[in-house]
Amino acid sequence: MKRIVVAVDGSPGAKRAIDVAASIAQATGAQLWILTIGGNMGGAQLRRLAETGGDISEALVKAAQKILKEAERRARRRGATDIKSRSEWGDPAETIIGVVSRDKADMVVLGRRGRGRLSGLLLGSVSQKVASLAPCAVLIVP
Amino acid sequence: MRPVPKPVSLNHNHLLHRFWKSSAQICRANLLRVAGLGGFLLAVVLLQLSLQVLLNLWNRYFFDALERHDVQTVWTQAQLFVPLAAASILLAAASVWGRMTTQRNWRRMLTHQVVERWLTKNRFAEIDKYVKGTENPEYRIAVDIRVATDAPVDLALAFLSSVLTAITFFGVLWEVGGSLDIVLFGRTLTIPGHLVIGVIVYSGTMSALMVFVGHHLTGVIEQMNQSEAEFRAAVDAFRAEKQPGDAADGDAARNLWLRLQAALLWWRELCWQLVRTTLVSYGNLLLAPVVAWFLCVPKYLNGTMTLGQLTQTAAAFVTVQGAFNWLVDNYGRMADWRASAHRVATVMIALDEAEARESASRPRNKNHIRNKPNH
Repeated sequence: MKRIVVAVDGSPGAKRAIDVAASIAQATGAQLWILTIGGNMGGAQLRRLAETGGDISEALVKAAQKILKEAERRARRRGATDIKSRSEWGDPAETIIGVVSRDKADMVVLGRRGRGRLSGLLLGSVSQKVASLAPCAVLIVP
Repeated sequence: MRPVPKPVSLNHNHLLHRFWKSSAQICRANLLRVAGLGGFLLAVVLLQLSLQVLLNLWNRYFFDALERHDVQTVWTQAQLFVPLAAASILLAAASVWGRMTTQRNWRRMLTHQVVERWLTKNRFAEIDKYVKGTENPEYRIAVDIRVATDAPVDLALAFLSSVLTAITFFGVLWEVGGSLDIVLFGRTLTIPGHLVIGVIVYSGTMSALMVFVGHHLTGVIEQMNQSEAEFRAAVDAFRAEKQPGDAADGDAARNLWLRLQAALLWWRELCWQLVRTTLVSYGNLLLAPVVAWFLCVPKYLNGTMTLGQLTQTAAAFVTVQGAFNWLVDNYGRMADWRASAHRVATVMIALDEAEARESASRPRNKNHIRNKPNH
């Protein structure tokens, strides 16, 4: 196994996914790619931006970088050494599938539930879509 | 070397001042037409107000006749309603013509002014080099100028109409509503103009509630419009960069998805803001007539007010509180206008900058020779 992709969004499920992916990467010597997609923002944060006239795109990029940094730190604590991280934007499931196809990942790891609990229930979850369509092994962490 | 874009001051006053400066130039250049259309619109507003008063009186006479079972007067009032309604309909149509003609003329002249400056000396290819925040000038010229010239006409007329309506119907409430006598601990307490006090307290409460609930709305709409404009610019940039057959990835694609995500987040927040403000506005829609009746009923029950006066004052109460709600009703529209005026002003400032650079780079000796005879 050469490359493992773990998708994160700062949720508890994603943190568990990092733990598992980092452990596998340590055991197999594979490279760990941490990927975050989209970026979300709560109502209070948006209202603050509206009041101050801040730039939402900048805020989203910063939030994504923060998620990636925290995930990288956590993965290092779990023993992973060869780590790369990146942020992407777009539909989460399609973007994950696009990244693992393009970069020829051997495995993708993701949490069963991310942040979008209600929309996941209504529209079908990211993990279900990735499990059905990804061209590599998919590990869904409960 | 490509010049570094100069950051535009995001100061609200600076941008609005720039927008109004161009509009004032247009007004001065077309003073006769502006005065004609302004006078026509003012006359329509005054006539509409007069008709509103007449319809309010009609309400009183009609219901008084109903209460007395006076068939002849009911029939006369029914016949009177026809010319009143016809005049009201004609005035509404005239108002639409006047407003849209003003808006169309303003838009035409402002668009001509901006487009002419934009096309001169190929500035359309240059302005984004001088000032940040001028992405997508085509959309600003096509859409934002329309929004920026539409809303002020509607808002100003609605404001004028609201002020005049409130003043006029205060009189109706004061005169017809009269005073209310309340017996408290064996003593009679007289409240003069109780309906005027009632409408001020009620409208003040509703407006304060709306401002409290929706105070983020203006900022959210402004940010959402800005995000939508940035998303359109990102789509244009993607199309300009990519050739058919290219992979849909890279910085342009990432930027496109990022801008879309930003626009969608603002839409979600706008949805919640509108849910909150709808709770107040819809509650007000249901409550206002009931409050009006509730305030009038004591006088009707003790026989000091007729059924006609009751319906007249209740209608006047609803009219006045509707006029008071001008700010609340136009919150969203004002935010839309502000965002569009800001974007139009940014293009104007970029054109000013381009012109200033052009005149600075002109050979000095030419001016010197031309100015020489004056010395």
